[in-house]
Amino acid sequence: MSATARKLYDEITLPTSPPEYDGEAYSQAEEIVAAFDNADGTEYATRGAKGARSGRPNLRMVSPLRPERASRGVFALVVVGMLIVGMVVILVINTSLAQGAFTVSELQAQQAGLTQQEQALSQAVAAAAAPEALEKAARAMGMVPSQNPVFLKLPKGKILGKPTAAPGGGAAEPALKTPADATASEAVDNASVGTDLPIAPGVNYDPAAVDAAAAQAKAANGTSVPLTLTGEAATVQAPAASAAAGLALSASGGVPVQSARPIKHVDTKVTDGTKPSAAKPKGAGKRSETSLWSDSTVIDVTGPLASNDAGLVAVPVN
Amino acid sequence: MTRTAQPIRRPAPQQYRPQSRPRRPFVLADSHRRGTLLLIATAVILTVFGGRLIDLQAVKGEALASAALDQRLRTQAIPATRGTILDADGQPLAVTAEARNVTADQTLITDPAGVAAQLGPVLGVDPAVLGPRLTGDRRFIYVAKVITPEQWDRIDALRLPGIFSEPATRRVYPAGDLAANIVGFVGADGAGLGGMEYAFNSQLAGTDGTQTFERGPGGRVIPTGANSLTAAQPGTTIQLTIDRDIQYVAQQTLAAKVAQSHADSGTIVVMDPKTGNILALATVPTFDPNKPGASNATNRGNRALTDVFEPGSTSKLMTLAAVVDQGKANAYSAFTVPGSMKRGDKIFHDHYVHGTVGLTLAGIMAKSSNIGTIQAAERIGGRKLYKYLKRFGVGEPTGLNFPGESSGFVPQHADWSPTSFPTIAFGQGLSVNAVQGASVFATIANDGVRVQPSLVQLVINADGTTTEPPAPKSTRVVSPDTAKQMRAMLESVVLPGGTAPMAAIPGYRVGGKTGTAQAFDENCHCYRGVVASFIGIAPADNPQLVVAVSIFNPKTGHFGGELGGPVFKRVMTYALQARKIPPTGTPAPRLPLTFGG
Repeated sequence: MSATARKLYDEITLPTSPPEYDGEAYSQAEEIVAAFDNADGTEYATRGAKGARSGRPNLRMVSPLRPERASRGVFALVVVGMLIVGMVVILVINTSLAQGAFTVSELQAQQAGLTQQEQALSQAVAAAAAPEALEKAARAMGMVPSQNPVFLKLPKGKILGKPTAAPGGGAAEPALKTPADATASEAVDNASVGTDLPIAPGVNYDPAAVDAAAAQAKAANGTSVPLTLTGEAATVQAPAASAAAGLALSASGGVPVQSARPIKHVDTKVTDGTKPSAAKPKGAGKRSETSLWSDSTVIDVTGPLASNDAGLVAVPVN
Repeated sequence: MTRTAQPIRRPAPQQYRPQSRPRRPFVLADSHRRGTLLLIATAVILTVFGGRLIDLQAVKGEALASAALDQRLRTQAIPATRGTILDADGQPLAVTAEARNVTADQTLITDPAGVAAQLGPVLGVDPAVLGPRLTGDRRFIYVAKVITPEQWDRIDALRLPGIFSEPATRRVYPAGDLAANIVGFVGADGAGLGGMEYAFNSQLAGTDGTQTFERGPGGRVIPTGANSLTAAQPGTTIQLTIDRDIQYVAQQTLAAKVAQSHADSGTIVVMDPKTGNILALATVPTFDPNKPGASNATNRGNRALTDVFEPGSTSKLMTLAAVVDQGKANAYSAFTVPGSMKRGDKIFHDHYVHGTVGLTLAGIMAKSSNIGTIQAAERIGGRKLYKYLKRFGVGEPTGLNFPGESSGFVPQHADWSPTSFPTIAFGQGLSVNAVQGASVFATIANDGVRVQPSLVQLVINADGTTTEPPAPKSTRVVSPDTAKQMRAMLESVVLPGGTAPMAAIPGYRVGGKTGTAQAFDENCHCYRGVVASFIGIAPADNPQLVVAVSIFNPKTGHFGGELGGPVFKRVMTYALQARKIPPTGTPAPRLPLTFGG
């Protein structure tokens, strides 16, 4: 043993005799310990030996393993709160959906009403703007439709057309709606048309009967049945049989020629057909307004007809 | 003796018997028993539930869910708004307006007679007829269909029990009978039955949409349920070439003349020769498309396109144009025209008695001489004439594709009899409709180019894009020079010496042709009555308008000039103003009509 150990060893004072037996103080374990503990003193450190020797119970407090009472309540509150909040949110959403649906149907009803109003108004406008309504309103104001259109050409103010005063001045021409009105306003000038003979033969046309009827009418009415059209002297003439050239086309029979320029187209022969004047190829030279066919002797027939009947194009005009 | 050791006598081993517990009586008072019993019962019930759950969810889950969805789902058609029909200026001729259908729940009506008495006057229905409709136990029955919203407002104000309404649509024609025969009409289901409404029905109707939604037992829509929507495609809008104002004047003037002459019917066509656009197309008698049932079925068609007639003298324009175009004559060509002429087995006369006269071709046109026309036509022959007639469009469809349109007829040249040629030359023996007749004059007005007529100017889709119809076909029929000569000859008709001086418009150069043709009557298979026509163009040197008037079987008055002329004058005057066409200011050439001093 080292000196230190010996020193330590010597310092340890061991009891030489067992402690006095105190019957109340010892527990059973201590008795056993006491029994084993011989006088030499051992170093057996049995459990609780020290404590037993010091005289304290060898119990220790252990911290309890249950939660705090306060945190348990908070958790419950949190959970319940979440539940309530969730339900409230759902309620709010559903309510707003329902409210939205109500608003939608309200607005739809409003829209339907406004659409109806708008349609009624636009129909009223269309009815008032219809030509019939406009004519009625215009005539009520004393206006009459224009008999012939006249135009004013700006900026010089040239007048195109034949201006005439509109009829009326109070006596408005009524709208042509009823036969009675029409009879009054659309007078027919019978003097300028021919007889009542049928125009063209049909299946039942009987020439002899027509001729007889015409003769009868003539005999009965005298001169009231014109044999020719108005504005025309009798044109019953024998044709000039000779093929005399240069027979000028005269405006005979009372047809006034008002055009300033003389008719250029001369040289007609009275045969079955006539030959107009000198053949100028079509398209050559400028054409004047009044002479319509100075270069139309040979007329090019464009289109398929020309290709089918090429021979005809070259035939001089009769 | 020795005592043997006797084994220790042990008692016989006992049979092992489990200690039987003392049997206790089965009493529910024992909590332990109760607990066990409840546990067993709960277990059984929960097993049943669990089994049912598995059955419903896993086994039948899909089928049941889809069955439930089917029950909730409801598909509703969203009707498409029908397209409008506009005139050339965008004014509506046919629109779709809101309407209401009146329905009744018979189980809620306790006093049918009283309700009928109140409803009847508003609806315009006899309450005695209405009463039986309100008695019974049907939950849904129609009382009235398609009434105006204003009528429904009045019914609603009466607060009648058991009377409800549902929204509907109705077709309104705000202009009444204006252009009625072109626009047409619709039936009760909203489908077109005539005219443009019928021809363009698929475009006007649009496509219905569908809305699929989930509904609860009250019929209300479930907002969070399945919801799909296919929007309805509104119908396209059709813009016609018709000018509303010209149409009105044309319709009114024609109606007055037809009434004055006690004619069967009449037609009028106003065309733009350069574009082929039809500005007005009217037939009299007509109908009100707002009440199609109140009219005669014969008035609902469009006679100008469906009825064909023999054109008579207006056809002489084609014959003489063919002669001039072939170079066989011109306006100054002289013809010696006898008073009568025999061809085949027929003797032909003119409409006025005369001896042998010398007429120029212009005179033949101005005086409407049949014999002169035959003479001129004989210069080109029947085959050529037939070709020209076909090129002018006789017997060909107009290209309008109007419902019920007829193409007219001219017999094949091979089928011509000896009298066919002369009669066809002056316009009997072939048939045309009014638009074809106008188109002939439009060809001459357009320098010899025939432009296919058209009624539709624009198609406006629902999204605002517009589609123009394809350009109309143009065919050259005669040369421009021929057309110019013919126009000069047409002017002579309207000048003094011609057959229609009452068609002249002061200040303007006007040209036209009268026609008084025998009308073929199908009932007696004979010619009875006449068709009096006048077709004219203005201004004659640069024509921008063609007006064709035909009056069928007039009783008072007879000639095309006296009947058609004034109508033409009035309508053409208005049309020139409406289109702002000034006079050209040039003097009319006075062609000589006769010769020989």
